[in-house]
Amino acid sequence: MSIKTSFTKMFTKFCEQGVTDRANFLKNTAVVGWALSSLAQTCAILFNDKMPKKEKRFLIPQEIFDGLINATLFWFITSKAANLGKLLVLKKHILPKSLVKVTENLKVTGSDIGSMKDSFIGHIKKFGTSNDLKTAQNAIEGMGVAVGIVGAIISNNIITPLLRNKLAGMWQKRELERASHNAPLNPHFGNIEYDKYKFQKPVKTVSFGSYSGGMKI
Amino acid sequence: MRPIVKLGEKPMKIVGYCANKLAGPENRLILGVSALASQPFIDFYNKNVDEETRKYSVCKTVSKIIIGTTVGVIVRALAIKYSARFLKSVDVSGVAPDILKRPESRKILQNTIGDILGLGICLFTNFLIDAPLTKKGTNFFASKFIKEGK
Repeated sequence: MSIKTSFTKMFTKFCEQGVTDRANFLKNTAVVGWALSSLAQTCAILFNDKMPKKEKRFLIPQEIFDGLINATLFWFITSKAANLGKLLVLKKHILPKSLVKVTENLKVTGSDIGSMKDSFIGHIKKFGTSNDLKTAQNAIEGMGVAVGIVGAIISNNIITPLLRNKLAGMWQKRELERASHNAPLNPHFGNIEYDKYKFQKPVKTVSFGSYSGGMKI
Repeated sequence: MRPIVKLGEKPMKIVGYCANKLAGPENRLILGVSALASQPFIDFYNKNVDEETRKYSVCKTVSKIIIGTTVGVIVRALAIKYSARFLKSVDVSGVAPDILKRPESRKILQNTIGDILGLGICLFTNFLIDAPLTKKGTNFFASKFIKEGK
């Protein structure tokens, strides 16, 4: 099979999933996007010569954990938040004022979001105006997007940084401890952490006359 | 059952905007701005590491968010703009023909192609633009806010 044929087949498969199973398609593209971004940022830290080694020991795992936690949380929190937003409207907890009367006798049936939405929209089509139908569709989709964004902000910008910092901090501590065990003994300060030892300024000594010893300044 | 919250005209305008107008670029911008408002502070008050590491972490986070959001918004906006043109030039006859008969599916397919296009572009921009600019940004902020040896 030629590269062009393989590419076309893959592209067609992607497009098909994007149209028929949009929720999963968005999950997959988001996870791939985060993995790529995390990999690129890890390389940026790895090849940054101006950054001290000690900080790299925190920032590299921080970046890797950032990508891993973001992808996992997106799978379990962010994508579910969008459904929660839609459910709030479908279960009539949040409704546009104009739809309160027309949905008074509505009893939503169905076990999943899709069938519940069909039941909700079917009722509006039967008893409401075309304006009501548009409002209902906007309310369901709009609340899904709005609550999805709130979920993304909480998971990506609050939970992820807290978790990644905790895990990367533990990683750095373990690495520094390991390095300090392997570091050569510093004659003046004992066996201290390797980077500090490595970048320690040389101790200057001065002599006084015939006195053979040295005084540290 | 009576609704707990009744949305008036103004809130419904926002909800309607979310349903019809809000797309990838706006979504990325909202996440970027909220990230800038929260993540640097979480890094700055991170008690798991020493002060110097915390400062480097803040510099990297601020640089990454600014560059990532700017590039992300531009790439997504361009991908959506050119997805309609791209849709005309590619053969999509193999994509579930019965589903594509519905008029709304065409729009969803255009968005899907925009997303795939955006992801493909991000593959390059992440490594060729985001990573080197974030590195430069981190070093710039570090030179301004971190005193050597402290």
